[in-house]
Amino acid sequence: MLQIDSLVPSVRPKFDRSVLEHFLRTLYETISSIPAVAPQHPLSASRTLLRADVATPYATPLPTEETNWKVAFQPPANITVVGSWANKLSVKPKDGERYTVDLAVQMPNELFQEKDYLNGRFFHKRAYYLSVIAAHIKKHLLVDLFYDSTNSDPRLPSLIIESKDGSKLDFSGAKARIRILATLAQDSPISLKHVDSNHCNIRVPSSPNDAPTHRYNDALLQSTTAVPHLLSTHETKKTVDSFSDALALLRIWANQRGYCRGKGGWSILGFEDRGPFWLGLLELMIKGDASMRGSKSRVKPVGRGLSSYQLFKATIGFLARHDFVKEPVYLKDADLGNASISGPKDLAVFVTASSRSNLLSGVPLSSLEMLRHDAQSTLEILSRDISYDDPFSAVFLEDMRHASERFDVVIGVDLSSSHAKKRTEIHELDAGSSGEFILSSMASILRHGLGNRAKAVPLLRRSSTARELSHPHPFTPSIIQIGFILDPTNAFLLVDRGLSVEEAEKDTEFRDFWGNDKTELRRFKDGRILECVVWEAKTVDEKAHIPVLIAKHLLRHHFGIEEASVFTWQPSFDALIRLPKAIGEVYSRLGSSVSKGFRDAISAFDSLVKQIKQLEDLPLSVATISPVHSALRHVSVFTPVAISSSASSALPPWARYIPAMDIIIEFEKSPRWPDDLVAILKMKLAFFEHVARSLTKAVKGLTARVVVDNPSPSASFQDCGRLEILTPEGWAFSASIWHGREATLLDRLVEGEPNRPFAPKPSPREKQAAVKAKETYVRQFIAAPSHHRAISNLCYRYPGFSGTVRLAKRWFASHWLLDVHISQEAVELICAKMFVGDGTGLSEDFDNSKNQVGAPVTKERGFAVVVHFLASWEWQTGLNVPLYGKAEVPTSQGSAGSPGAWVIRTSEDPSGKMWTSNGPDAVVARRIAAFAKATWNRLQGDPYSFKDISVLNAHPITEYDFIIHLETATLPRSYENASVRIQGVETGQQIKSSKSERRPGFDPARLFLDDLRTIYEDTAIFFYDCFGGDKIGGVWLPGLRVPKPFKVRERYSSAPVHRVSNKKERKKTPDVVLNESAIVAEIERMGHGLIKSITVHQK
Amino acid sequence: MASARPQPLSISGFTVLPALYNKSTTHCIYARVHEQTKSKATDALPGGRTLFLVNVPPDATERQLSLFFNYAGTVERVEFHGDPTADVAEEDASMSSSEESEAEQDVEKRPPEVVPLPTVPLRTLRRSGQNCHVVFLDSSSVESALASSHIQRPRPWPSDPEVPTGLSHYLAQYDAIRPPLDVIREHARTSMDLYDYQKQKDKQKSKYKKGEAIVDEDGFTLVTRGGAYGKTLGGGIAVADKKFVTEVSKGKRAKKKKEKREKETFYAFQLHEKRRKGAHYAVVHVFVLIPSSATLDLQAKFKQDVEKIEAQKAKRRFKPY
Repeated sequence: MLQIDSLVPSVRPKFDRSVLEHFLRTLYETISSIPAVAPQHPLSASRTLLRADVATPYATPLPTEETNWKVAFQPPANITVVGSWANKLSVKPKDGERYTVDLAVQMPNELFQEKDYLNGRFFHKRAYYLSVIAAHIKKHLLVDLFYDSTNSDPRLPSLIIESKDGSKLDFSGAKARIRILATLAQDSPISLKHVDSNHCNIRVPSSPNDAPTHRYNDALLQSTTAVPHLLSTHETKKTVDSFSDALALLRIWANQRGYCRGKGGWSILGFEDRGPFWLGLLELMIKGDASMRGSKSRVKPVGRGLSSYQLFKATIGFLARHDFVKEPVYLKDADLGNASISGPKDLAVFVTASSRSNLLSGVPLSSLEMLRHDAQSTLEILSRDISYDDPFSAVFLEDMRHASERFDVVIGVDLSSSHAKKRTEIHELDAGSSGEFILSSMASILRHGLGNRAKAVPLLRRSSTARELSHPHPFTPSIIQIGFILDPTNAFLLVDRGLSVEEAEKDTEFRDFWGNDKTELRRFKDGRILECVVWEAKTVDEKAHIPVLIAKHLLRHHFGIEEASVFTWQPSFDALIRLPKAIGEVYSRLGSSVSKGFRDAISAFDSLVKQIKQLEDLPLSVATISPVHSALRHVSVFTPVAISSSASSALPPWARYIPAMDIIIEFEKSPRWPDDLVAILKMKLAFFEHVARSLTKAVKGLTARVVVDNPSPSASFQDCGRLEILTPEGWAFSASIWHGREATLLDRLVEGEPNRPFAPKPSPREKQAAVKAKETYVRQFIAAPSHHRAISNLCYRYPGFSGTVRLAKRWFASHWLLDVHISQEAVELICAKMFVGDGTGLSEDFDNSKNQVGAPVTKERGFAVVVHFLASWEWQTGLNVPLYGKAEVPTSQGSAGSPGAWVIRTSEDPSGKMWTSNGPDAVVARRIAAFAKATWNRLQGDPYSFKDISVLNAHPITEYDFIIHLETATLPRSYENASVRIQGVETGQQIKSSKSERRPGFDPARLFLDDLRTIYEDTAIFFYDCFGGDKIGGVWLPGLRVPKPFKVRERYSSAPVHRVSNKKERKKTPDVVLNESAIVAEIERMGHGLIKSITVHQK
Repeated sequence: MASARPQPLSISGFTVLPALYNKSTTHCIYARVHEQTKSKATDALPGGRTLFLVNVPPDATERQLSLFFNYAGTVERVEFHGDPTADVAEEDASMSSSEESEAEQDVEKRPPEVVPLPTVPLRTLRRSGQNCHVVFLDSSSVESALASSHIQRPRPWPSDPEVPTGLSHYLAQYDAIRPPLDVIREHARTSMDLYDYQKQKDKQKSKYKKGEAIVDEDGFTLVTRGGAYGKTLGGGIAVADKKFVTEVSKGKRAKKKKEKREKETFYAFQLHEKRRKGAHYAVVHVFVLIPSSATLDLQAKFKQDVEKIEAQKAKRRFKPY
């Protein structure tokens, strides 16, 4: 509540109205004093005005030389201030535009005749009337004048007056502009009953008269509604206290989502100037659907004593549920309502008491569906637990217009070459202009074509701006965007079904719609033979493209828009997480023998489990084997590939990296395990050896080796053995053994044993080692498996999740942070947060659970959401991820000592430091935010303005103090790097094959980096792209480059320097300073064979 | 930088030994004669012929240091600091050997030997700025090593071709940590044997003996849990359970009792205060009407909220666009 109280005043005009009132008075006098103009032919009249550089905004059908009616001007019957300004309901428009003061100039009844509703005559007369006013004001007042058109409809021109600097009528202090609308009196001679119902009021020789012209009729009706609307709104406002605040909230909500005009963002088609719609909506909520006849679901009025927030929430709830097509809403008073509008089946109807006209006329259904979707996701946010995140800012404060994070797929379409293939004149005239017609028919065709694949496919355009008086018609945008909100269950189906054969012979609708070359007959499993359209997609990546393929096909088929004019980011995003072409070719040359992909990796794991469990001569039987590697939960950046020995020799040395996938073996419980930490480790070694021996015997072609990592002496309790298994197909696994007793033993060392007072006390050093070992133990054997299960659950539940994580990891890696400073699990958790919301439904069964409405469906959107989050995340406050279903918010404080700055809490990890204790530290966290901001700014651009998405991952290297250039040709992971250009790859040379031993998990660059990080822990911070980076960046720790007195314990390489002797000889000992060149030389020596060169950046 | 000016020859008691990495780069090692600590009589390092070095190159090997001090004399051994017996196998070996002497006194059984894992001469990379002690064969070498005539001109840092660096180092390391299965089996088996042996011995030495009470120096008998059959004291005495002991040792139990000793609504002023604070109270005898909105706690909370909002306002949080 308090938040709302602070929010509302900030969108209200707050200034002295007197300046404006003074101007309005002057304006009133000026307009009233315009001399009458005698009736004359419309064309000659406009020619006269053109001499004063004022065009007359005649709309189609244009008047011709043969027209026999005349236009004229007489002083207005009435001039009133109407609209939100008069009611003090103005809400600040988006992007710093000015408030609008609507001025209704009522045209005298004498100007019109009864038949003026036909063929746009009324509009022509009004256009002339307005242009006369324009010409007069231009001559007499020192102001800026523009034409504008409501909702880009050329039939609805208005005159915009903005203050000009230096004029004595300057009202710029009011931050407002004045819009002059020419209106019609209620009792005008024009027969409104012909307009009210479903009449066709444009006579076209070619078409029959029965097609109703809804948009035309509504445009006409709108000219009568200004004053009654004002009165009824005033009435409502008086009766309900919270009305104006609720309206402000609703308008802010809508503005933030692009249901408005705005210079900065894209507006949803049809919603640019829908002020009356929002007013009407609130009125509907308050008064209820009063005179609805024969409808099942009436809208019941809400209580009048509701607060503004409750009213707002009720409205959003209504929008989220209501379908204006299936249940048209009439708020008419009984005396006005005669015939209801019944037109083509896809027409949204919303008529209020005061307006009489359809407030939703001309709004494409896809835009309405978008509105419904937005309302649904807002409702979801509002009903969330407040403690997880603040719903207020998500609903009101954030600009949600960014297409890349709002829509699952965004395509940009260049309309310059478009033409509607199927057009009827009457519809085109009804739409107002050919541009408008193309847009509205495009919206309906795409909506129909995508069907249940998409929840909403709104068209977005840059809102039209006011234009000079010499331009009579609004501009049709040349570029629009189409956003897709996909339905994950249907979006990626391969086949669209149509009619059966028998029906198809009679009805060609399906074939016409998709084109003859695209439709084919297919027999389905249930025996039916149907017409259908089949979309080609072999891989998962290609499947994700199907909605765009459909849109492209439809645009070409119906509007002649070639593929080159349709822009999308999807392919270049795909390229980021795919291996380079040359490597792919090697694989394809090897044929089907190569197993690759997540599914193959998981089945390889399953068969390994089976093989191990079948081993008979093990001393203890295996209880469970759990996977803990990202490739086994669909979230490794690259799809895993098995590298068999034949593949290995066909691959160049810089592409032979075989990632070893971690698994954890748990043996059945047994008292025979020793009760001593070191002995347990030895026991594990014995088990490894045993499994290795019998596994190699049991499975032909499998190699297994025991790896004994050299543990650092301070951590003698650290689990140092691994079992490395290389399957015959070429999958590599790295197994560890989990033994539950270790935890107890480590705890004893850490906490002491009160029960056994005479037991030997552990030394502080042992204690320290135990603390460290316990940390690793919990992470490796307890947290990792449960994390793995939760994440792979998410992957099955949300089709976009896996791709999102992969893109996010790639992004982190290309900024030289992943694995080095940020654990992969931390990235996965952050991505998960964007999908799970508050965790409702996660704990339920997969089948009957419902996903979050707002969750991204494609990886592109997921990535944009993650980047935006990172850019704005205040990481000091931490993040709660309800990964394991809806649960109590854990609020324990993290361990303060660890260097990590991020806190990511889950219900399993209340401290929030499980995956972030080793970084990123505060410095790196700030860097991440900066990188995310840069990327986010890029993502707000449009698909056609920059096509190569790889710039998102371009990493600036000038900030580093020194850069180590690596010898890419010798590193087995170089092929993963998107930017590395190794000779021979581009030129398509035959890759030389050479034999060599396969070394699973061998990554010398990484080993080198780890060594550097421990050696120079107190000297420098290192950064590296773990996916085959060709450079290591280093930054000296701050403060080392300043000379300091010499200390034995300093852990950095130094050289003595003479003190700058301004205080003469007070201290004789010289200082030492970081010996940069020696360190660089050391690095170069230690990395012999890995390093090409080192460049030091002088600052 | 450092090379631009003539370098100082000594710094807070240390002599600067420049080592030439390549033509233009000099690394500085700081050297001092090792002073034997008085408290530690059992200093393993012989005084007089030991040199204490600071800031040794991180990848230095014993051989490299010997070669570097070639001019001064023969180096007997090098001991790197903060680097106690780097290898597990070594540790095991030394452990078993130290046990050996004890075992011989106790006679009975010889401890089983542990078959160590194979070690490959690999370069150990230590942290930058490390210290080490160099023990010379001859005490005159120390002086000669620090003699100004030798150190004025930087000496080239020798290389050690025996141990690989860079890529080949990592290749060798990769192979080294994957020893043959037979060796691992032997190592594991013998380690387990050693463990069993020690367990046996610990049992003999242990103060915990089946059926015997534990009596401490003051003559008190420690009452402990005796396991399933109450072996300690023949039963009859209730012993605190494990949980209790753990909690007491952590200081959880002690506080609990101190809480809420006093009745909170005993005196009139307490009642009054409590009412003002607007808390719920059950023990009221007097019927009083309280203006609910005027209670202090609610007021305070409201104030807090307002402050929070003001802070957000200050950050321009409420400007939607």
